[in-house]
Amino acid sequence: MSGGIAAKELSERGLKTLVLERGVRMEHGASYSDSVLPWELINANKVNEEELKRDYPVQGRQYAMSEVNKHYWAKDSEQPYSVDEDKPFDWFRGNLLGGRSVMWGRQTYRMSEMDFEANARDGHGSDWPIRYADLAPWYSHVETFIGVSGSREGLPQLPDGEFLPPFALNDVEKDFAAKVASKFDGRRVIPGRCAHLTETRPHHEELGRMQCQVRSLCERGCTFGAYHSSLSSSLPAAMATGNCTIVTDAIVHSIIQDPKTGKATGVRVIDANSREGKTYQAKIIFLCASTIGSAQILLNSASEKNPTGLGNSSDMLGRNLMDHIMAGTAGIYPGFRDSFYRGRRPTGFYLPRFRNVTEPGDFLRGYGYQGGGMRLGWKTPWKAGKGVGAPVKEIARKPGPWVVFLSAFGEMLPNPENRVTLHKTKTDIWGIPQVHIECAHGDNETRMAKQISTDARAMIEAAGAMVIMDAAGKLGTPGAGIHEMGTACMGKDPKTSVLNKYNQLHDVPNIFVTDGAAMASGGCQNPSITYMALSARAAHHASEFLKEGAL
Amino acid sequence: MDRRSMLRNIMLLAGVAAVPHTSAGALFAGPESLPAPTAKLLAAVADTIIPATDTPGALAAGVPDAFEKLLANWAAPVHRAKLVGALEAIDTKAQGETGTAFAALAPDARFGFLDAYDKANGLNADYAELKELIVTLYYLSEPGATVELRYEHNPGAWEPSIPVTAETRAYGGPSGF
Repeated sequence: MSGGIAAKELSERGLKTLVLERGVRMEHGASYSDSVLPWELINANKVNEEELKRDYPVQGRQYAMSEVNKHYWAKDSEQPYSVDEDKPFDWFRGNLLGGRSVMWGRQTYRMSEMDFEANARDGHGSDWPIRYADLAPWYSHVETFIGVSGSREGLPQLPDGEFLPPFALNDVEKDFAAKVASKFDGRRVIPGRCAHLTETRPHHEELGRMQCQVRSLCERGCTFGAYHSSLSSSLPAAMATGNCTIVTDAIVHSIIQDPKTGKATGVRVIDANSREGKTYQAKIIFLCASTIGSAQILLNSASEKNPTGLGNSSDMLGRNLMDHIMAGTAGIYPGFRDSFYRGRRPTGFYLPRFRNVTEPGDFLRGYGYQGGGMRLGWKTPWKAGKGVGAPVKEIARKPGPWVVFLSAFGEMLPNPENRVTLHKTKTDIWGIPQVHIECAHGDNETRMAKQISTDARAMIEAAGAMVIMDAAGKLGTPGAGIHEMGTACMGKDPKTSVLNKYNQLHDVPNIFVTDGAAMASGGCQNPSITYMALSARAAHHASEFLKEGAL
Repeated sequence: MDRRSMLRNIMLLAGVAAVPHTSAGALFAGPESLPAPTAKLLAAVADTIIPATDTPGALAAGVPDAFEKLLANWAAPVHRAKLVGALEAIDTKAQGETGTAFAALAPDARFGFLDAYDKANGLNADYAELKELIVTLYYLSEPGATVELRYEHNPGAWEPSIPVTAETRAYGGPSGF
């Protein structure tokens, strides 16, 4: 995600750019499984149970992995990590060129001024060294390039961006939106913003990208290139400059620092297959290895000069690991039996944050809901206990009742005790120390989760619907939001943060970390667009610093 | 990606909606897993759950064959035994009540028995899963997805509001609900 944008931006500025990818090579289009029809799915798209247990005990826990794309994911058996038994953390990892940008949820929301001010205001985490105005032009730059569909709403907590036309709400969603607006002052239901081309612009067409076909087969990769991924969009743009080279199966072991100058001079890489070591030299290095992967590389780059890891003079490297807490509520929506829709829209609606914005909360920060309205499909009428045969077949033939669901992402406070370290003895098959993750939700998350369920239930019931599913304030496993962030936080003070306002390591200015590791706080917005904006901004400054001879 | 899939992707890009495909059977390559009497029972149960009406039922959709392959290629041994056990429990109960093997009952008698059995076993997890798998394989099948219901691999556009008419069908293919 961030790596593709960094490669594009650096290449377009004339820098000879080498992309090192630990996963396997994939070709846009040719490597995808999006052409597999439902009746061609092997084992009804279920991964063999023994294989699942053996190779994907963590990866298999989330929605986006199935038989048809299991090979996109890292095998937990081959790439293990360590947690304490009483502190589970789900770490979901791609193992392919393009990384999780190929399987991402594609929801795209800017962080706002209040998010960048949050740490300063309540004292948790390091104060962001940038504010919204610093990132706004880079949000625009990235949105224009990747293509984001959405509606302009003028909400201070969810800034508008450069949008392609939104995917319209269906009739029940419109009704729900009207009821929420009339009964809850300050709450809004708006079309979900997603990185899909509802229309193409010339720069999309130049890359071979086409309009979204509304298939919702996105996790398999999209042959139409209709959603942004590194494979469909940013890496092709990087390659088109003639300045970019991609090496796959290249596992970065560590970064080499010249003890005399203090600068990084290159990276040590292990070939995933031959296990041969190799060194690549570079003037500047962008770490976009994903939040935990980037922390692992820096921690593993310890030297005599930096015994606890590269860029760790603050002792903040690996700390402040965050995710988004998640909770879902759904209800059966009355009426609208004469209305339906066509197409599998790749988004739904969004209900922007209102707690600690227009309404108070008994916790810090807040949450937004993604949701949608849909008619129940063939599964429900066939539940055991409801009978068999032609009568049930007849019922299942018709669209079922409408359901409205709300699924929140809530901000998790930065906490230095939630951290990534290197395991003292365990290594992976390439001899690299395994990551050890310690992460737990705290009191603020617990209180927030309760309010998430209370608010969702109240809105669903106020719309006249009957709640049928409710997380009831339960918190999932950290990591399950697949929004892991932090571990190399940006900050103003080198004593309390890892990165400066340009995403440079305070300690080693020619290393830039621009993936989720850089986040000083997480907001409640799906974070990928922020990683991409930070990457583009950092690439611009890196290029300027190089020109000035400052690196 | 094999050449057939590659070709289909190219045709999708060219806007070809209906693309020829090989049968599902050619893609499954697992061993047969059930002895003949159990396979016969499976076919009878699948046929009774989803019979042919004005559209094909589970048999014409190849559900028994696909289910056997699912048992062989997907389910772990303990799980496989549970599912086969759930199937055999239907037969045991039928034999006890009617004195006849389930598969040997006339279609009407099968329906009467299994409908009552289903309604009495709403909380039987093994039976519920057996039924869900059979039903899932039907609606993932080409006849289930496209003749009984409607499925477009490539809808092409989002239409947020269309009227429900007598011809309207639910959507086949994968469904979460």
